[in-house]
Amino acid sequence: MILLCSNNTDRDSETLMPTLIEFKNISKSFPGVQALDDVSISVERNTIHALVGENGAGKTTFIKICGGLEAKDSGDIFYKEKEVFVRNAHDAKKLGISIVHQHFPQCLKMTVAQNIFMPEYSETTLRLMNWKTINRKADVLLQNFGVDLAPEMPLKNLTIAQRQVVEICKAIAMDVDLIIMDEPTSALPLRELHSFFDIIKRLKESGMTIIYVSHKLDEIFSVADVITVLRDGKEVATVPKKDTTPSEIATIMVGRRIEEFERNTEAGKTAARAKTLLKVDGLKKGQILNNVSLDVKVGEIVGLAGLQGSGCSELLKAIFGFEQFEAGSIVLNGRKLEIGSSRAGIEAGIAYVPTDRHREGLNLIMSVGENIALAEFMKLSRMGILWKKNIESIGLKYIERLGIKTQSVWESVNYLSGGNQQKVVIGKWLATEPLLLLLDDPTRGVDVGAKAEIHKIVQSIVVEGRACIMTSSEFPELLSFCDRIVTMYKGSITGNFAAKEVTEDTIMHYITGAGETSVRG
Amino acid sequence: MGRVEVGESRKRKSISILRAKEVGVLLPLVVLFITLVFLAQNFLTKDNIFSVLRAVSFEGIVAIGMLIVMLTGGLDLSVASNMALTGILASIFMTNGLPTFVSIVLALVGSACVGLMNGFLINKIKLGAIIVTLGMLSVVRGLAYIVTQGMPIVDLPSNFTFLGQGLIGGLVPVPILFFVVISAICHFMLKYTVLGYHFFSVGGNETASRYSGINVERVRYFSYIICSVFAGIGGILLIARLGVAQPSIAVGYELSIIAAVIIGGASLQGGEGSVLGSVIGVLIIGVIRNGLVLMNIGGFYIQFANGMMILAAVIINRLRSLRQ
Ligand SMILES: Nc1ncnc2c1ncn2[C@@H]1O[C@H](COP(=O)(O)OP(=O)(O)OP(=O)(O)O)[C@@H](O)[C@H]1O
Ligand SMILES: [Mg+2]
Repeated sequence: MILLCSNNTDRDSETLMPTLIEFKNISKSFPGVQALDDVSISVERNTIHALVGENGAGKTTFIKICGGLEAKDSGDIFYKEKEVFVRNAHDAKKLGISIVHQHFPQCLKMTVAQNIFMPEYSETTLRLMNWKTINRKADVLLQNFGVDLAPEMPLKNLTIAQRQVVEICKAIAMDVDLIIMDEPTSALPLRELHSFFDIIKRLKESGMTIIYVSHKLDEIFSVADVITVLRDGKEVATVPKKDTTPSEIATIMVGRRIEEFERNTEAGKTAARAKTLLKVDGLKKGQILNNVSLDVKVGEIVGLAGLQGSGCSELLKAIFGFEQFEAGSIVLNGRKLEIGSSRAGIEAGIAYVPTDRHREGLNLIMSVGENIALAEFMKLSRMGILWKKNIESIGLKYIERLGIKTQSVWESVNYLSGGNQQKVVIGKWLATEPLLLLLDDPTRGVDVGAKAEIHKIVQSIVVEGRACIMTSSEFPELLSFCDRIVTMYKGSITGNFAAKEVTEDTIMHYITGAGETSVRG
Repeated sequence: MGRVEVGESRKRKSISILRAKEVGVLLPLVVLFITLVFLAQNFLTKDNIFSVLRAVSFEGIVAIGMLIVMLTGGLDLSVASNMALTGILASIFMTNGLPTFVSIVLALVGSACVGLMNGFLINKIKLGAIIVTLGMLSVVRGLAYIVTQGMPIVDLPSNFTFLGQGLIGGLVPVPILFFVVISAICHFMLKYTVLGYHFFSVGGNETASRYSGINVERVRYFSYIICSVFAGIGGILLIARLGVAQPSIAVGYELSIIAAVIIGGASLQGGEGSVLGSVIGVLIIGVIRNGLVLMNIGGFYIQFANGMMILAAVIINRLRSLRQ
């Protein structure tokens, strides 16, 4: 095995108790929220213990307490039968715990290898750094993942998916017994996903214990041994995987049954006959977009399917005006759009929800209300004055509509849980009442209940004479939610299907370039 | 993916050397240098070159310390006051009969205390670096006036003034030697030790560093203490050069020092910069000043040019962060 995380021998030689880490009656409150309420969980050695729950259920808070990044109000942690006090990341590392964080903070100015080995060299001394060896070790880890990334590359040149890989490598590079992963796959594209699960399997075979947080229940059911459900900061169930089903878990999570959203086929059929809302013609940009043409009808939801680098996200950005291109035209509602101007995009009635909410979508220090009203500021400010009550009313409307879990309109977005931040981004763009909604993986990190909610809202908007183009890292979502699927490979459109007549396998075929010679969109 | 092939990676390396930030900084220095060779007759003489180098050494040493603080995302406005106070303390000890070496060490301990205080207020009381060090700028300068009662200290021992005035091999002024050695050590420290790596990572992303188990507060303490000690060394050498210890020396130096570090590629946001760049930045400022003097352009203009350089530095910093 080539993984760098072989276990320490002296740790192994301890008498093996079945329980590795036990949390007893952990509570934590933030001003106004009880994030964790008397949570007790015990994790057995060499198991994969999944932690699930709605957005804001307290999963991340729990993990931060475990890693010493957040102080608990009360409760005890026992690690290998001994009570431990984890006050900072350094303590956690000494115990043998590493974490993949949900909103992984990274040094963008530093290289991939420098980021991966930050925990390993966390003791401030005059010890020498042998960059050659470090780069080589990083290379081995990245190869293991099957990603082609130079360890000397500065992180700022990486995509969010590549940065997620770096974050995972960082956690498994450490010599630890327990790895905690907070939504590690939320930004991972398909190919890396496979390597990731291989790695998880190998980690488990090598004796590792893993606590795993995800909103993707299929993932959880394929890797986990035990599942714990948190709801509103309380532990509501802990069950072995073999004794339960995904729908049962989803029901426990939300506290009610959720109906999987199914797109109304009738709506799709009418859409096909309607007039064209958007016409993209011969868009070209270097290697990224290769003569892309696409029509979107009024009332239609189009899903773009493609692997990382296929050009799906870039196409959305180009339509919105974030991306310059060399040739081609975009016509919305009969009006030709100015190239590369997002201002013009907004004015023409396009809304764009980006994937990387931290970099592109949110102002973290501003409040929920201000963020939602941000794209609307032009309308709200009469003669340059922002009326507080207008921000409040818009904010409240979308907080209610999307079920955003927040203290008030004026709470800083920074304090919201990951999924709720995503809902704020979506709310911000819905507030502009757009003609065309561009969604780049909108339900990333959003819990099942809220996902259905977002689908319902998008659907209701589209019915009012608008249209939507979206991408998703989950193809089942595209298939069940869109009217039409357009596949892309290496900057070209490779296929165009009615969603009801296509299977996941066919899509896989077209997005990997295997079906390149067929229909063009 | 050709990155395993040796030839390919060599080629990449040579390109990356060309792309290195320092080259962008070196260019204006070279242009300036050549211009002055033509414009000012006395510029390219051995004496003048060494005198420029000596003149920049004092601020140069402090600039290296400032670079370290700025790498962590901080700023130290108290350095110039610290230069004065440390030089004065050393002078007081010496004129009261302590051996030169002991006096210098004691004075440097004093300067380290200033750094410790800066670090403490920033780490523990969670105040902004600018506010804290701005306060310390006045406090420390005030101390320098208090301990001297405003009077200059004269009659410094000759083994002390040698540090500022002496020549090695009858040619190279001693301060230059200090500057070179300190730069070399810090270059190595920043590039190849964990401590250096931590200065970059704390400035690059504090949360990431904390999440990785780095003791951010400790790294910050180190940066402010190192900066203060370097300021102390710069001040001691400067007073040794002048031969008199006055509480009013080095007033306003902090601005040109910060300007030099920014011109040299460091950013006010932290996480970026290099010793080489800072040295070049210091040289650019020194050469401009020297050129103005040689061309008989009066003192008022020098003040003006200083101001322009600081503005230029801030604009460069802004443009750099915009480009990202
Ligand atoms: N620093 C903070 N200050 C105030 N409130 C906070 C803070 N951190 C978290 N919260 C609140 O605590 C609750 C739990 O948040 P947490 O991030 O643990 O949720 P989560 O289960 O990880 O959700 P998600 O699936 O969306 O990531 C939320 O209501 C959140 O708003
Ligand atoms: Mg979370």
